[in-house]
Amino acid sequence: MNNNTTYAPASDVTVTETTKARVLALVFGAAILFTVGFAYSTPVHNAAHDTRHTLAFPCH
Amino acid sequence: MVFRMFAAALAAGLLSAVLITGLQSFITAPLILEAETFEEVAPAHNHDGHSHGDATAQPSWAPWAPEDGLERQLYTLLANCGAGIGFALLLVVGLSFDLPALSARRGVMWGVAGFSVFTLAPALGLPPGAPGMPTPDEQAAQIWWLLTVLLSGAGLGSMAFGKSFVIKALGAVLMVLPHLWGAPPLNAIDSQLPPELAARFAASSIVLSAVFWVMMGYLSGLFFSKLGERSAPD
Repeated sequence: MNNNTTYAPASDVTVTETTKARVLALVFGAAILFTVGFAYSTPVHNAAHDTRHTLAFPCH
Repeated sequence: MVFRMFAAALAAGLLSAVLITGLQSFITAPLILEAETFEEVAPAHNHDGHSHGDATAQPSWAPWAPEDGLERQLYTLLANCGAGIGFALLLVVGLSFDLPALSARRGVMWGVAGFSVFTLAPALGLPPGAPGMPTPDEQAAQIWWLLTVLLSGAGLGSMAFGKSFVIKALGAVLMVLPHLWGAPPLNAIDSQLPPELAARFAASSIVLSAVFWVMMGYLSGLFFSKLGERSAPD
């Protein structure tokens, strides 16, 4: 599968682009996980209750 | 790259969430419902938001909660989709460091790493608890959980990618640190929960998390590499 596939050389542009994508993915990922697993709002807690217990996020 | 990472994480997270919700509905969901029947004996907090002032034990301003049955399952599916997409986004960030050798197999390895960091490490101090189990103060538990995940992630990363022995040893220390410090103590409550139910729930939760992580890892690696094949300039 790795039969010398030619990848574009990592120029400065692609490095910045990749870094930007990583930061965005980290920020969005953490924000979603915070809402699902940590947020104190009671309706959010009640909606995500079974997920919090099953995935062992700290829950009451 | 932004599109490629987000599309891969979205597809992997959603698919994994649908599958794990199916497994949960006949493995852990019945255990949660059974555990809640014991929780109602000692009304620590409100799990049933639908007693509109008719039950004397419940406050009349009971906050919203999904109705048991289909509605509750749909909200669990929604929350699982959030967890799946969130975790898959983190996985894709890890996989982006593997870019030339990206594959579904590498995805599984990252998934197992995620399982170790997000499930196994915190479970040592805060074992997965069914409703009605004695728990620590919620905020203290969240802080310990978050620190444990961050330190375990940094530690595992140092052990896996560190070039020198010192860095690897430092990684091991980071992983042990939260457990030397210790998880917050449990609040003593008069729990009626049968121990075999609690044990079964903890084991099921860890096993389902393993399935969830391996699936998210496999699919993240698969979609991330496939999207690359299509969009990579020849």
